[in-house]
Amino acid sequence: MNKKGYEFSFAWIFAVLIGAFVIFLAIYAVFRIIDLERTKIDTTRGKQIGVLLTPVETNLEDSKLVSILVPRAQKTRLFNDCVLPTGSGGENPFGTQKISTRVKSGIGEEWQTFSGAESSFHNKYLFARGDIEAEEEFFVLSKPFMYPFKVADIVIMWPDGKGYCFVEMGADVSELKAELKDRLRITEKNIAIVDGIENCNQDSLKVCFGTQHSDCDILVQATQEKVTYLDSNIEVFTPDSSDVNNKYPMLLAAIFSEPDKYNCQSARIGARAASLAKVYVSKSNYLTATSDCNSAPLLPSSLNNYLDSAEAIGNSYDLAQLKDEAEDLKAKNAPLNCKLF
Amino acid sequence: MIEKKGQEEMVGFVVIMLLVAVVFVIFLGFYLRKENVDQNTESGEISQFLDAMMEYTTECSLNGGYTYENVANLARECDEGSQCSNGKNACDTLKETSKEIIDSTWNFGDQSPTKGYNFAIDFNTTSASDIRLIENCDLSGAYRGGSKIYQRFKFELKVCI
Amino acid sequence: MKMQQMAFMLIGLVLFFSMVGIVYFTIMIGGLRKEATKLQEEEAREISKKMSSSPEFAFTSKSDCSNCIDLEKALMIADLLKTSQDYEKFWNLDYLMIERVYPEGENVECTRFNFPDCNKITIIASERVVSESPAFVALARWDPESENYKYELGKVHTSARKVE
Repeated sequence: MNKKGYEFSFAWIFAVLIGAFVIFLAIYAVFRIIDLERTKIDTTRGKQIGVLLTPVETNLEDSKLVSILVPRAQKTRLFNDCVLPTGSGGENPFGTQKISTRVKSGIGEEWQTFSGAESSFHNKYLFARGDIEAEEEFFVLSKPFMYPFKVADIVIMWPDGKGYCFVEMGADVSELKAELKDRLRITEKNIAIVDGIENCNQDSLKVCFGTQHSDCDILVQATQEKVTYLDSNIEVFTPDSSDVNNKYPMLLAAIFSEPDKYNCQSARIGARAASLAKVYVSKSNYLTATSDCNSAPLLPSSLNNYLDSAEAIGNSYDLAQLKDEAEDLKAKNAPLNCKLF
Repeated sequence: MIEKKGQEEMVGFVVIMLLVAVVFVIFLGFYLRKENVDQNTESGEISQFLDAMMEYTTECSLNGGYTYENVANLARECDEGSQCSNGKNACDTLKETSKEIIDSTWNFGDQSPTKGYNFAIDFNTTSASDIRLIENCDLSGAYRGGSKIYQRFKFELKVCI
Repeated sequence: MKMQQMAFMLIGLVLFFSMVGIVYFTIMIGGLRKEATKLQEEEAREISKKMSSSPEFAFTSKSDCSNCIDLEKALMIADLLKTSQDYEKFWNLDYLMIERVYPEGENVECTRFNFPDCNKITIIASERVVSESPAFVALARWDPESENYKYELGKVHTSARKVE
């Protein structure tokens, strides 16, 4: 008999099964390693962006506008979270700024399900939407917030993908308009400044100054120092900075942020203001005791009033209520020979 | 005939392992050879030093001790040919103060990473002659430097390493 | 016999790839730690450079100095840290010290009682300083003798938190 078949022996079956198992294991290991590498890249990118926010801080400047470039073909999503402060003596007296990122990949899923590990900062105040995505760059605007002394640098961030349209910036914000348009040239950074809402791009976020239109997303009332998010009908307060030449850091922060994050950052700023007030109380007492630098007998009590109010700040409304004490301190400090701040 | 299939298989396996090992070592070599580019903060350090030095309050007063000039303002006074209230020439005070500050701040020496320095203040005018301080530094070897402009004056420091 | 040979081969293969895997992960984790430490050091270096713009240290009593640190405020912060831990983790640093470089002064730690006859203010102390990143700054303080502000030359020393 002429058998023209091939005997598929057990050894062959065994070899095929084992081979298939080994190949499956190898492919699984490769995908796991890719995920690990992507998480590493996401974490590193988040930390790098956080570190890059340090040189953006102002010294004597009114503002600083920079771009953080994203590597080509690596679209990046930035997640921004804020943790409320627990108060002096607590576990987290200044609150926390958390930043994490996801980088788009051509292998596997476009975006990872989870971001890279979060980077935490206690001394940064980032005002941005919770999730922003940039193709090529993130724009960062930094402005000092004085209340009445410098409390913090307000860092505002928006991506190249998201357009904004500032509508009808009137006489009450003429200095701001001039600064944004002429000095900072913000119209080159995805922000249009127009006289009528019909001139805005359909996809852009419409920010109306003073007058509400049906298409507005955000309403800004600069003289009342408040901003209303019209989709959720939530109002936040935007106290003017004590520097008369640079009044609107909080107003701009509110425009580019979200209500809950804005209120959280306001509480963090309040906690920082309270700590700084303690430092100034100590400095005032020290200088009065050791030199002729008499920072006025009234100054320590005004500072203590300020300190008590600042410690109770839980949101933007509370921050706005501190304005009278801030102005009082500013007025008392100005005529001193050796100023406290 | 003696069956040597097992040996053949082992040889084959060893060849594959060797190939994989060679590829791995090449990959490792490329990975480890990634240059650690040190951030060039050195000239930044000297610029920072000059920035801070220019704020230093000198011993020179122009109004009988009511206020004292800092290094930057003293350069301007030197350019104008001013005299300090203590009788000393502004340029002499500027030169002496600059030398003291640089000598105190940087540990120069043969055994030290910084061997010497070359400091200059260029006034860019005919009224004051430029100030030059050179200690053990002829710039023919390696050095790092930084500069700062104040009004029309240029402060420059080069540290020989 | 063949099964036996195949079994040995498979065991050898698995052992080989396990060793490769161990070596790879060791290198990768080492690289990750180095990367994390590098980022921490970069952060510390940037913080050193920017310390004079931090509201806790910025000298704002006069508006003409962008690179000045208010020595009295620094002294108060160091004092505050003795009784309260609020600022301990604020800058994410393991070590923070401000040193007066010129004029040198007494080589002692500053306190309210010996200031300004001292030359350093340690704000965050560390038993073991890892890769310091110093930056030059101008130090401003009130001088009771001249009844004016006096500016001296100083350095800010920082060190990043060690990555575990």
